[in-house]
This record gives sequence, structure tokens and C-alpha cells, in this order.
Amino acid sequence: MASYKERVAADLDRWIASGHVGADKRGAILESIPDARRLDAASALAWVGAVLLGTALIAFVAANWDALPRLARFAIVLGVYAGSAGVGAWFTRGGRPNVANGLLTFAALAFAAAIGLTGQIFDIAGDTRTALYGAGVAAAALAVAGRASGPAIVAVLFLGWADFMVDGLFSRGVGSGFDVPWLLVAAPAAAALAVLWRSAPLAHAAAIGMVACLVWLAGRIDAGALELLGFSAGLAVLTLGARQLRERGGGQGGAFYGWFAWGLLGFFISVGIDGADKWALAMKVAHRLAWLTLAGSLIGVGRHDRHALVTAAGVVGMIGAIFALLRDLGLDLMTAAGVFLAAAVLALGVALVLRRRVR
Amino acid sequence: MRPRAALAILIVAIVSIMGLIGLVVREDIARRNGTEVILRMEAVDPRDLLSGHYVTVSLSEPLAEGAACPPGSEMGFNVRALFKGRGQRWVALASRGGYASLAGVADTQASALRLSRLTVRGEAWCSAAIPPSADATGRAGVVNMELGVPRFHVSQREATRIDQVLAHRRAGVDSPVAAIVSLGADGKARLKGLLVEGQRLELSLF
Repeated sequence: MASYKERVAADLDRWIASGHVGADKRGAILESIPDARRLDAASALAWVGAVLLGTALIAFVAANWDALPRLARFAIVLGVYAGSAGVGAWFTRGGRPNVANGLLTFAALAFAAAIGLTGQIFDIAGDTRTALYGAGVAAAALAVAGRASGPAIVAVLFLGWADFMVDGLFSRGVGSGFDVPWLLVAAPAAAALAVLWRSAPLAHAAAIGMVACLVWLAGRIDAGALELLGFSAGLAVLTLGARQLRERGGGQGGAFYGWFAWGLLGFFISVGIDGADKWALAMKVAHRLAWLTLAGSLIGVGRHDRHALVTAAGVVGMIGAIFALLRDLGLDLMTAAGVFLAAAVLALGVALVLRRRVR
Repeated sequence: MRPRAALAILIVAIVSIMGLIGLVVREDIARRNGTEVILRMEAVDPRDLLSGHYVTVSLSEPLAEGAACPPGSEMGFNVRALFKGRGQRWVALASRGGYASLAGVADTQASALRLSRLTVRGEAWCSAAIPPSADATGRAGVVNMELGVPRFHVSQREATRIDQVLAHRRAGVDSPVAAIVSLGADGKARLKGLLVEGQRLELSLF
């Protein structure tokens, strides 16, 4: 695959040939583009050697794990964590943020493994949820200390995982009282850090965490149609805010925009309508129509904003709405095939008209 | 160059490591200072009992013929234990014939102490004996306990030995494997080891 500089050189030759750019500018333009970093043979071999050495070490420890005293095993587990955090700190000090981020992410995962392995080595039976919270808090501390997005993503993952392990979350009438999900604090904090650090991956994790937090709350309060509609409306407001942020050039706004759109659609779909009386049937028809409109709007806005995640939410929502309608109407397979054929012909017809207008 | 961030990372790493070491030391002290009891383990098919290099600790004891279920455990298979998690109730244990047996289950420690002086957080449930009838063969009563000590990690060599011991057990004879459990002052049960054919297989730091 050609590098960026090679592609620009090829484009320049075309532009020079067509007279858009003067031939005397070619050298200056190409010199302004730095050469892509290439791994030389010695460095590549060094990396391969390091990986093989690490593999050999892991295999050796695994083969002798039973023979090792418990304290030696514990020291190895802690050593892996301390080593990765220490080297991560060294790279942070040396101004190599990407390498440091990778190492601190590994350290956060290594600490989570260390909690589990410590329980196994010393036969300490503990609560899995508490262990996950512990791993999440340690990862969050590493993230804040090193201004690293990787451990922050790990923190959101572990804290969310622990939140969803609460007893009887989606079982009506079962549970141990009302408690608050840690995501309620962790996800907005991660969102703030994502904007502050300009980290798109962390923005994705934070946005998913915020939607997951609302799903948790909906499960805990055993949300009915009205509450679910409220969650959907709240996410609609957040979606508009994220869209504004994206339009103002906040690169992280795009991630929030996409996942909040998925969230608002999901909550709206889950409202559903039960019952067989006239009022319930009328509400059901209204819900399905609004669902179709919402999905169509998301496709339209997604295409307008050139946002794949929003468009995808709309497409999936549209497919779901069609299936729901078919199910509501109780249509047989032949009728369903006819409905889908009619929808396909309509979509193709509209596409053809639009294409002719463009020409 | 971010020396302060590097220092902060090292501080976080040291605090995390100290936390884990503290946990190990605290658990070891609590395990040693607790009241030791021997609990019968269910001698199930060894192929199910051993998975990897650990022994599944399934605390189970037969109910004596004609005996009623201990108070608080009469509900049979306990749904509460599934949904409410461990440590929601208090289990009272009484020493009988060298083993600790279930004396009853209560919602509070004070209520459990009225049944026996040995109490621990956990759950227990009992299936009463069903006498044989003209239509069915009947079933012996059984008491199961969940004290938060699900497994005991051992080396492959030890696991194989326990496997062989259980494979040679005879029907109708007490399981030759029992759990050595420490009952802590905090109401938590901690596994100290296993009693395999009278030989103690204990956990040590080294």
C-alpha cells in the first residue's frame, strides 16, 4: 500500500500535467510532508525477539506454576503489574504518550487479573462484584495519574460490568434494595475526560457507559412505558447536544451523537404497548408509526451529517419497525414477502428518481 | 517530559499492590484466628468434583433417619440463595461426632445464636426424607450449606490423589473428604484446607 507521500506525489504529477500546480512547486510540497516511519530490519528482529522471549517466559512459568511456592506466584502476578505500570511511567516521563497509554492499559488489565489470581493462589473467596469494582477503581486511578485514555476505557468496562452483576436487576420484585450504579458517576466523568483529552475511543466508551447506565436504572426501577419514554426523550436531548458539539468541531461529539441516537431509539422501541382494548390498539399503531418516523429521520439526519453510526441506527430501527408491523398485523409469509417486495420497489424507485435529479 | 505524571502512576501502582498484600495478610490472620470446624463434603462423581486443579467444596450432609429438617432450612431448594447472594442469613452449626452439622438458619445472628454458639453468614436448605411407598422407593433426607467457600485450589498432584480417594470410596460409607473451615469473628467462613482420609491438606502462604 502506497504511503501518504507517495499518493500525494502521484496526485501532484496529475495536477502538474493538467496545469493546476506549477512543476516548480512539486519538490517544496513533497518536502513539507514528513516521511512515514518505517521499521528497519534490526528493529523488526528486536521486536520479534522480545515477543518470543516473552512467550518463552510465559510458557516456562505456566509449566512450573504448580511447583512454585504461593508467595513466588503472588510475586510474579504483582511483578507483571508493577513492571507494566513502571515502564508505562518511564515512557510517560520520556514524552511517549502512545506507548505509555498502551502499557498503562495493559497494567490496568494486569491488576484485574492480579485480583482474581490472588484469590485463587490464597483461596480467598470473595465477591466477584467487589473485585470488579476494585479493578475499575485502580484502572481509573491509573488513567487520571497518567492522563491515559486506555485505562479509563478499562475502568468504564469493569465498573459497568460490576454494576450489571447486581442481583435481580431485571427480575421484578427481586433485589437487595435500591443502590446506585457506579456508571452514574464514572460514565459522565469519562465523557468529560474524553472531551478534555480529545480521545475518540474514550468518548465511545463513555457514551456506551452512559446509555448502559440508563438501561441499568430502567431495570432497577422496573420502568414502565412512561419512564422508558422519558429516558428516550432525555437521550434525544443529549443527542442534539452531542450533534451541536460535533458541528462546533468537537471531534468526540461524533461518538456521543452516534451512541445516544442508538440509545434513544432503543428506549423508544422498548416502550412497546400491551393490551387488547381499543385505546391500547390505537396507542400501538401510534407507537409503530412514530417508530417508523424516528427510524426514517435517523437515516435522513445520519446521511445529511455523514454519520455512519446514526445512519446504521436508523436502518436497524427501520428493519425492526417493519418486522414489528408484520408481527402486529399477523401476516403470513406470502403476504410478508409481498410487503417487503413493495417496500423494495418503492426504495429503488426513489433512489432512481434522486439519481436522475443529480444528473 | 511529564515527571509528575510518572510519579503519580508509581504512587497508584504502589498503593494498589499494598492493597492486595494487605488483603492477603488480613485474610490469613482471620483464617488462623477463627474457630475451626470440620464440615462434611458431598462425595459426588469425581469427574464432576474435580475440574482443573481445584476441588469443588459442596457442603452436604445426610439427614438422620426420622430426623426433621433444622429450623429455618425447611424450604427445600432455596430460591433466596440464588437471587439474594451469599451471606444474607446466618447459619448455626453444632458439633456432632467430630463434624459440624447444621443446627438451623436465621435472619439475624442473634436468632442464630439461640440455636448454637457457632454462627456464620451463609445459607442452608434441607430436603426432608420421603419414606418409601407402594408407588415409589422413597428418598433419604439431605442438608446443603452455602458458606461462601466454593472451591479449594490444589496442585495437579494433590488433585489427582483426591480424585483417586473419592474413586475408591464405598457406597454407604461417609465421604473420606471433609472441609476444614475457619469461622471468623466477622461472621465469614474461610476455607483452611481439606481432610483427605484423615490427613490434613492445609493452605499455607509458602
